[in-house]
Amino acid sequence: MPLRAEPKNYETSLTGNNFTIAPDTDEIEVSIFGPGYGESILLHVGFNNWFIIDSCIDPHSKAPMPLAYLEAINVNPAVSVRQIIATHWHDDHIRGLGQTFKACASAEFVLSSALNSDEFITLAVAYNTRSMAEGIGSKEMWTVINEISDRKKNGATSSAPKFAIANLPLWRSSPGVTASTRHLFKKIFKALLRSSSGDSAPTHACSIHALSPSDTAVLAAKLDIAKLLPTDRAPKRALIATSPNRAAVVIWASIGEYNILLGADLEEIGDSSSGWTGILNSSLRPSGRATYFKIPHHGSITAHNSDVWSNMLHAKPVATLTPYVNGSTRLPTNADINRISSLTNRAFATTPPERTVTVKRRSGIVDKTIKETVRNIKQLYPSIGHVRMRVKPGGEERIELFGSAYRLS
Amino acid sequence: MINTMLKRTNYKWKDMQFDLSWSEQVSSHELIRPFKGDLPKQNIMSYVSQPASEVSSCALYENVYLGTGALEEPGKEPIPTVKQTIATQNQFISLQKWQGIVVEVKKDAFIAKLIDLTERGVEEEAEFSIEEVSDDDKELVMPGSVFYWNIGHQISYQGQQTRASMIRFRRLPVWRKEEIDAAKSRAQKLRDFINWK
Repeated sequence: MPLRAEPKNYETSLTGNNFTIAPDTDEIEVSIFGPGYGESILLHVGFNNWFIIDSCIDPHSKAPMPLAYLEAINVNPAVSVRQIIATHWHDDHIRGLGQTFKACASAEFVLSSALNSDEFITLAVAYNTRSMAEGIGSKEMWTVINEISDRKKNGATSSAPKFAIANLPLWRSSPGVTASTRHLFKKIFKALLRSSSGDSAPTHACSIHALSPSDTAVLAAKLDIAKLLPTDRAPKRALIATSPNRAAVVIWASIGEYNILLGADLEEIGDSSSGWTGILNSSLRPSGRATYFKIPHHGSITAHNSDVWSNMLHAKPVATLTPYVNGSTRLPTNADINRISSLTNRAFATTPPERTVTVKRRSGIVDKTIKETVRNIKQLYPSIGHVRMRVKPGGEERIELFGSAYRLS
Repeated sequence: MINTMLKRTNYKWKDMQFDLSWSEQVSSHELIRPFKGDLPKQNIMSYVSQPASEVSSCALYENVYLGTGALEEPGKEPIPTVKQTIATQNQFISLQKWQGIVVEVKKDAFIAKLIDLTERGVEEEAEFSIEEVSDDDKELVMPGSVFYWNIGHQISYQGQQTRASMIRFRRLPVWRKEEIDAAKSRAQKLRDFINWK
């Protein structure tokens, strides 16, 4: 059973039938949150083992969404979260990550190998101690680094971060747990097994692998990071990371026979050893096909590879995306939605793209002057949506939509 | 410093501007009277001779200084005379203020993330024409630049009120080699300590 959470610290604006009911012990859950700009994923692999992949903020309560949700379903993040995985260091994936890591006291921190460099730590130090305009990304990374340092000072034995690279196992359920839970699974699902084809008993054995970044992508990303380092006599400015998502961490989770593919923001970059082509070409990646797919990079065509759908996914998978609005970029486009809808009839989004264009109302004088001054203005994070998928071994997926989440196809 | 003096004697700077603008001549006694009791006469010179940033303060200083006899002479009152001046300072009453960070620069526009400083917590994104930026600040428009955007009422010294939008870019100092080297050194120690490898 999930452990009781600490007294209420985090609030969420999301509500709905069954929203606050935790998954059953043996139930797999993938919850994807998206406020129109940003995303976060919570993965429950069973037996109160939770994983947080990236972080975003509830636009109303300002709490990190993964923490707010865990609190709402009465799960204590300090003991139940095994890992926090930062797929990449872009603003829309790391809001609240520092606070989240602090609250998950026993969690390991996992990040892309592209960030395993002197230059990345130097950036964090320089922009948080000397820049006078640090930016959101550098603030979050600084909080995480300081928390790791504090844990080390307090004698934590496993405080060092783990750097993800293609085909690296990130986590496995421990053998002791495996044996006992396999027995429990068999007991629980005895009836179900009898009624199924019965060819192989479901197993709860769980493993989580990184499918990216490749060595080539790591090298290229490290060069990009080095370019962000301040230089002598250069004017101080806020740090803005704009490099492509070549070094994002794609996750493959195998829970029994149920596979999940979480695509992060990995894009194709025209290189056979990197991006989705690199993953498809790898002979070391875990075998099998996934039934659940977090669509990469907000449904963008730059992250689409049709071979992923034909070689790594079951037909008509459950597919979820989070929209993205930043500058002149708006994802998914109508063409993206049409393409995804042709590939599965079970596609969902956390927020409809048009919902992100919201203008905050102010006094008449201010509104009038705003209109006269800017070409356009929109409120970021106007609402948040949550797509929740739960499934029991051998069972059918149950999809629930909360907040502004909606069905694409 | 003059502002400080005026605050201490409950005089409003605007009131003083008005007085100075419309008085043909103000006697030394009238000018100094509000501060009597607060300040020894010998200190008056030190107050008015402080560098003053506002134009009106400079005008006051010049007029008082040029028309005033030496204070050090025993038994003589200073006789400052104030000529008619035109106060040029306007007041700005802010109704809405944002801090912005430029995220993208286009040919004739830029896109910025805005943090609402009036109602904390709301984040917005807006596209501005480059024309909205003063010529002095145009060179500062680049990704990562920080600016402040103010909407409010501008009130001239004559009391005329107009709606105004002001964008001012923050001029941050440049990175120095010593700072960068210090950051590298600290980063190296931190990396070793937390085993970021």
